[in-house]
Amino acid sequence: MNELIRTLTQAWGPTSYEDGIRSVITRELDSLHLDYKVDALGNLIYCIVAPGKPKLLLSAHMDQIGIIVTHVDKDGFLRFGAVGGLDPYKVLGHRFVFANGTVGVAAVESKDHKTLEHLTLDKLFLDIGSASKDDAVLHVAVGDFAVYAGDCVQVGNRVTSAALDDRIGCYVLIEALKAAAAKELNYETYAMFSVQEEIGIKGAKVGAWGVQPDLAIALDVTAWGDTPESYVLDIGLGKGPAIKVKDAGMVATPAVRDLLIETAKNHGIPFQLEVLQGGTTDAAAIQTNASGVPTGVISIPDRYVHSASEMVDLGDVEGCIRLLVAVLLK
Amino acid sequence: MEQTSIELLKKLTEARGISGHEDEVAAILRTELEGHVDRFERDSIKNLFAIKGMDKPGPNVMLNAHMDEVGLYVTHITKEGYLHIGKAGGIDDRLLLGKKVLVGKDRLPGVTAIKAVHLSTHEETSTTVIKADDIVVDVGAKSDKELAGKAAVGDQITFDTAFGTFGDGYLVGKAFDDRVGCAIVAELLKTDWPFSIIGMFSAQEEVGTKGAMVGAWRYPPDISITVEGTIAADIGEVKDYQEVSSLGAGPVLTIKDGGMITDHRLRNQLIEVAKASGLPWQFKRMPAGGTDARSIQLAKAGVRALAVAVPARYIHSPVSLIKISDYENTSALLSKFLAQLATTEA
Amino acid sequence: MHKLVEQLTSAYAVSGDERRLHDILRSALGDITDEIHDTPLGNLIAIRKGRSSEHAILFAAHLDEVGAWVTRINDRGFLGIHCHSVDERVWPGLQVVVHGNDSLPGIIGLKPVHVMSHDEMDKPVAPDELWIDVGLPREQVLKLVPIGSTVTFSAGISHLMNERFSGKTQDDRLCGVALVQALELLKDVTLPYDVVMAFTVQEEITGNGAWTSGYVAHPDVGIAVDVTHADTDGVPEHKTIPLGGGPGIAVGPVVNDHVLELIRKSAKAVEIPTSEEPCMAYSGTDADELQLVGSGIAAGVLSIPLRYMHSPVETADQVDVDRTARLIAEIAKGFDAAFIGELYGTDKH
Repeated sequence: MNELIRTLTQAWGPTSYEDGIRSVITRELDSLHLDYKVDALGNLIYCIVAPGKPKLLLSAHMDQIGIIVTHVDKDGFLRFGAVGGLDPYKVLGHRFVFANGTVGVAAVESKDHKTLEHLTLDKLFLDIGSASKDDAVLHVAVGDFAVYAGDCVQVGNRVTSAALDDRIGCYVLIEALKAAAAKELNYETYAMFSVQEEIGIKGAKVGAWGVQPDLAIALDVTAWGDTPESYVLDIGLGKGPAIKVKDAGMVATPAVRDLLIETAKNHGIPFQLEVLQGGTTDAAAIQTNASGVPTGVISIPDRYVHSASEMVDLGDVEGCIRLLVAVLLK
Repeated sequence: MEQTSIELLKKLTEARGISGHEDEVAAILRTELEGHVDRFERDSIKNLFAIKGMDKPGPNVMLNAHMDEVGLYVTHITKEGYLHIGKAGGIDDRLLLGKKVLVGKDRLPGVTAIKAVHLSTHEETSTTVIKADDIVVDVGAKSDKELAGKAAVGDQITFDTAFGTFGDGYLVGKAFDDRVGCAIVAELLKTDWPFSIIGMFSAQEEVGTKGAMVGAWRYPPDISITVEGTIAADIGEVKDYQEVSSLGAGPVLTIKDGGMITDHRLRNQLIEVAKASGLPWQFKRMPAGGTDARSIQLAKAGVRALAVAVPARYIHSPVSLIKISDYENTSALLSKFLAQLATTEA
Repeated sequence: MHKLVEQLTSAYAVSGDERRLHDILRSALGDITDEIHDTPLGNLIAIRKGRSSEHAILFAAHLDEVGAWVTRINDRGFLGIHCHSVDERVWPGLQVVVHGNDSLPGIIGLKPVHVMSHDEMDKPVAPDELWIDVGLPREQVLKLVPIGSTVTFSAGISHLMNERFSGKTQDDRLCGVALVQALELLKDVTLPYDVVMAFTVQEEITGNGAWTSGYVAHPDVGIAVDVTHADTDGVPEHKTIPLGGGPGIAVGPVVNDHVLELIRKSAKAVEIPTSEEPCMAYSGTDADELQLVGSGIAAGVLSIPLRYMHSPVETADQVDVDRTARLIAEIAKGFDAAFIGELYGTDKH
């Protein structure tokens, strides 16, 4: 099991509470001695200066989806709302963990089966094993956040865990920096580990303003189309990095898309082309900065996105790292 | 509550101003703040800025409230002199029948029509929601010609609701969302703080927090506090976990709403101030709704933003309710927070 | 506008509470009537005596307004209601008054959208999901608001263009004003027979006021003065009469032929435009009961055109009120021996 991937996925960091994952990343990159800053919203932005060269902004988001406690009832059950896109069917039955380690199980009001036919988040509640409100409030409070609980596990050449969206993107960016940072780069490179992507690509928007890049590439997960009766999408695990053509928030700038395709071909990296109908990434926010930024995305195919057990292929991950490094280096 | 505050709130809530028509409210605020701030500015979207102390050291602090209220506007005038309506902001269609309104710049009294019950079937009244598109305002005109110069397409239509006391320590009126915020920000602007304050009374919040977006671009602050009138659903048979906030439980602090997550550290500082001062407070207990803060937060390189609100029942409707103690406590909390900001590093 | 319009329409009296209006009326009727009685159910009968009391013509306007009754109080101190004859879609967003031990202002509000299920907004709020907020804790509400307390729309008249005006309870207090205005017009006129103005109770729910007023006054002719539907945007023309087009006159089995003739003749005499409205077995007014009291009363119906009936924004035209008052006065003058002769088929009375 790749320990860095595990550490990254297990760092507690729902949208807006990215301190923990930020520390993991700064610790991991400490030995590279790169300059970095943390901006007003908490984006972690590394800078590898190269005067005279075009500015490239790379972005992978640190935050993961989660829940926020809205109510503690008299029997100690918790009601909650979503932080990021949460499908109630993907929440039901799963465990969530709070910053202080408290664990809860998401269960459903079960008066009648109709509830399950049109399941909504407000019909669910969290059971943290308390017998009463008095006990529950010793462990949690209204306003507390929690994330999917569960270990990161290797299965064959694949890894399954919560939060691969987008800790696997962070991993790709970290590994690319390790491989390339000390060398001569094609760009003045800003590596941004962004915040608050899951509730509206917010960190990327302000981060891009602070950098004012000439070019940008985001690293995020994309969906899949290779499981039984799955949504029609021509992406599969094990077929290499996906180069984004279009998603619901943007059309990848053709020049950047083509740069990625050419680079992949020149380095013998198998790749796929991605058209995603639902969902977007930091790239959409960066692309509209100032007078516009040519932007593309290297996507890691990811099964069961926004569930407690997402799944990526380590070969695809390796391919993404190689592709990014090839873009950075001569 | 101070008589002057009550009077200001009465003036502000009875003033008329749907999105795009904020002039009357802006005029009241200018008059109120004349002599208390260094300068006023208005921009192309008609935000009103009231600015003081820009030469002072320390953080640039923005205090923000929006001037526009949810209402209606004239979409068409029929030959018979009836006015068709559109919604200016989000309002439940089911609130619109049989209500008294004021139309256009001359405050023409009118009523939203509701067919006599005898002319409808039981089936109709129990299953059909009449949408705004199908509702007209009757101002007593006999033809469209009579309305020349009095009412025109695009004119604002506001609810004719008087401000007053209600029940046990409540205030009733329209547009507490967000004239209550305007009143509180105006009062805070009357104090001289040791740092710069950008008072941004924004326009067009109700139709997409548009004023705040460009206003914060013009004057991006270090810290921003949006003061709102927010949802309290401690009413009827609403379940306790769906109340969002409760009247009487103090200022409502947003952690997450439908638009953004506030700055955790600033909010925790605010809570520390509340605790130290013995002031009540509550969290917004549902991640729903949205405020100017979501647009301010994303201006340029990002702003550390807070959203604090007076809880209000029945916002976005002809008549709503706040509790006097919540108004006072929200005002006091923000005042003490600013005082504490002056002495510590945020 | 007669000052009585504001006074009467802003007073609160749902069916059963009509006595609350007696003082206002007595004060208005003081020097234009000879006798005023009230009846066990709360009708107010005002008599302007004629040269002979052998015959009487009665005009009836009802005092009660539509509204609701408090049926339950929940844990929050909010009031649940049962309402009658009101389009329930009007209540959300309305200011109301609750008539318990005190009159309390209330608000009927809606749940915010975030708290509703996805198809809730597409349906009107069910009546048992309407709740009145009076801004008081439950313990106080229990003391102040007995179950069964009545609930009305809030008072207040909006003055529109063209002398039109809007507010609650034009149905039927506006007609009450017309009766008083008619008496004012007849102040110095000698009348052949008695003219009885009956301010009746419970028209909106049972018609019991008309029954009992008719019994007490035992008039020969009983004309209900009520409201009818005025032209309304979206309603087919044939279901309404023009606002500002003068009073409506009902035509049909409820209306006695001679009474109809008297009404038509009187309208012509004072040059008032009118609209004739057909009805079959029932007119929906006090005339339906009056016609069947005792051995029968010759009945008729006059109507003031009104938009948005049974809502807080009922809308009338002042000119119609004035015309109706003048018509009533003219009819009263025409209720003479000759008419009685026609009515009973002989002229020796």
